Amino acid sequence: MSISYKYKIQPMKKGAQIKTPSIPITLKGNNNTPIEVIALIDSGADISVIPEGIAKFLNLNLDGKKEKANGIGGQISVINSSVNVNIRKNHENYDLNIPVQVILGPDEIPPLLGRRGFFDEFVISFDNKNEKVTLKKVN
Amino acid sequence: MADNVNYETYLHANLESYRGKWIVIFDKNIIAVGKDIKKILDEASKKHPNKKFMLAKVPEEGTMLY
Repeated sequence: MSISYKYKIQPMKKGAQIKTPSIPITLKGNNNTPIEVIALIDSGADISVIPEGIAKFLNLNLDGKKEKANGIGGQISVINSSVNVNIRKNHENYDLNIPVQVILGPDEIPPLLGRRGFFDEFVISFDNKNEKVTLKKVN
Repeated sequence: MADNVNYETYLHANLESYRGKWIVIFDKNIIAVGKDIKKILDEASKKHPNKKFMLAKVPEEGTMLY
């Protein structure tokens, strides 16, 4: 069984468009208020990341040691944590607990779903021509 | 309309005027906008206590490389 999502198509200046394989997921932490977020599926990310603002809202454990992570924008400070993720569409409903790195500082980067913990759970197909991404659960 | 109203709203809305900002969607409407997640979630919670919101980051103008 699989679920598909259309790319988000965002018009930009001069008729340009940004098309992103973004999906709705629900994050559950240590408070009683889950939040639904739009997360970008990112095959280039070793691990999933979330901004500090979301981690604090969910009351995630941020007691871990600070580390440095490297991206195309340079080096950033992160803390390793984990978060419960629910993905639901139509009759498909998946609950995961995935490792995340919480990006410390200003909330600039959207949630990214990376390979460790997330890509391990699905076969993920990017169909750029038809502007959709499909997740098939690995048994 | 699919079973996820907030997501359908996100998918079909033109978010050009919110570039670079976070938005909170609830019940087909954008109810809070800003750069600080905690502030806009607090704002949304005051307007609609104990409701489940959708949070999204609208991309900046230009190519995004993470």
